[in-house]
Amino acid sequence: MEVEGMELAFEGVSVTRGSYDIRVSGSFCQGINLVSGRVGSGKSTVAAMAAGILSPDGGSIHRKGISTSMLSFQFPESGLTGSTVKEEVYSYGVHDADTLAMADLSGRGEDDPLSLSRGELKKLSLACVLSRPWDLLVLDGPFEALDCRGKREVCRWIEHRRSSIVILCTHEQHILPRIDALWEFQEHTLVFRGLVPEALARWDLAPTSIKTLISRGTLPFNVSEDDIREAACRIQG
Amino acid sequence: MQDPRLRFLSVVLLSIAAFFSISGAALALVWWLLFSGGPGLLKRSGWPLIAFAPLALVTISLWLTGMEWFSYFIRLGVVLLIAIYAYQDQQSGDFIRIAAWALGPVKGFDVGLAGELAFGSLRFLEDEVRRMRRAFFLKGIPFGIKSILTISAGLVFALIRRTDEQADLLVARGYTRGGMACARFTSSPMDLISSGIAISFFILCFLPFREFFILIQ
Repeated sequence: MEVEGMELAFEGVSVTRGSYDIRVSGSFCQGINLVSGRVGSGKSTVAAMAAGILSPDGGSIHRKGISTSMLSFQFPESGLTGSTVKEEVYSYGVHDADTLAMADLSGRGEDDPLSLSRGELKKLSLACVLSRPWDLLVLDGPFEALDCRGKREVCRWIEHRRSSIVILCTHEQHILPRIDALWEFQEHTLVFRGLVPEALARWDLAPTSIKTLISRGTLPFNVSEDDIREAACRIQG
Repeated sequence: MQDPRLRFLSVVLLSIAAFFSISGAALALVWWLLFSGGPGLLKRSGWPLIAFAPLALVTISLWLTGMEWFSYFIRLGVVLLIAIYAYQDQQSGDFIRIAAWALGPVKGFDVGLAGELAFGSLRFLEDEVRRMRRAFFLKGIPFGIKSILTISAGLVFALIRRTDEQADLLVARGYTRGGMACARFTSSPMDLISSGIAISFFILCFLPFREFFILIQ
C-alpha cells in the first residue's frame, strides 16, 4: 500500500560522539535515499536515529505518515531474537518457506542462526526485512559480508521497495541499486546533494567510474551498474 | 575513582562494615551517596538492579517465617549497592593491574586475567540483553519476563561460545601460562579522601564504643 506524503524530517539534529558531533538536517522522502560517507562518518548513527532506537542529543525528528518502520543492522547478529532460523524468520512476521528460499537457506530452518556464516546471516536478515512492506525501511550497510552475486540480488530486492522511504546507508561504491536521492557526509555533517541524476555531479565521494564519466562530459542516469555501463557506451558513441 | 586499588579497598571494607551491622550499613550508605554518584549511577544502567530480586525473595521468606528480615534487607541491600558501584566504576584492565600489583607481574597476570574474563562476560551479557531489547523493540515484540526466560538459554549458549572463542584467541596469541603485566596507577586527591573516609567508617563500625562509654561512667 502506498502512503502519500510520507516524510522523515530531521530538524537540527545532533549527536555527540566522543570529541565530535554528528549533525543532520533535512527530510527523507519516499523513494531510495542513498546516504554515503567514509567509514566512521556517522552513517550507522543516522540509521539508528531514523529507526527510533537512538535519541538525538539536540534537535528533533518528526515522522509524517509513517506507521511501520524497520532497521536492518550493519551486523546481522544485532537483530537476532530467535534461537533457530525458522524462529528468526517468524519474528519478523513473514512466511518461513518463501523467506528461507529467498535467503538460499531452504531446509535449514532448524539451524541455530549463529551457526550460519556472516554472509548467510546477513542475507537471511535482509530477506526477512525485505519480505514485508514497511513505510520506513532503514538499511545500514546492507552489502557488507555479501559477495557480488549477493549484492546484485539485494539491489533487486531494494528496488522493489521504492514506494517506502528507504534509507540506504553504505560506503559501497560499485554495486548499488537505482536511487532517487543522494545524501553525503561532509566530515560528520550529513548534506543533501539532491535528486538523481543531477545530484551525481555534486557527489564528492562518488565512485571513480562516475567521476570519470562526468569528467568526460557524460552524466549517468543513475548509480546502478547498468546505468554506468550505459553512460560509458554513450561516450564511445 | 581513578585508582582501582583504593576503589577495591573501599569496596571490601564498606561491604564488610555493611554486612556486620545496621550502623555499618548506614555508614556505607552515606559513603555510597557521597562518593559513588548514588542514584545517578543506577540510571546509567539499571540492569544490575536485578540482583535485588533474590534479596527480595529471601527477605519475604524471612518475613513470612517470622524471622529478622529488616536488618537482613538493609545490610544486604547496601552490600548490593556497593557491589553495583564496584561493577559500574570498573574499567577494563583494572583486575590485571590490581592483581599484578598485589601478587607480582607473573602470578598476578594469571589471577587478573581470570578476573578480566569473568568481568568481560558480565559486560557481554549486559550488552546482549541491551541488543535483544532493541531487536525486540524493532520487531514490535513486547520485552518482559517471558522474553527474558526465552532468551536466557540463548544467552548461556552465547556465553559458552564466547568463552570458546576467547580460549582460541589466547592459544593463537601464544598464551600457555603466566604473563607480564606492569601496573601503573594515578590517585586523585578525591580518591584519597573517599578511601580515607571508607577506612574511617570501617574502623568506626568495629570500635567498641559501648564499652568505652561504660568505662567512663
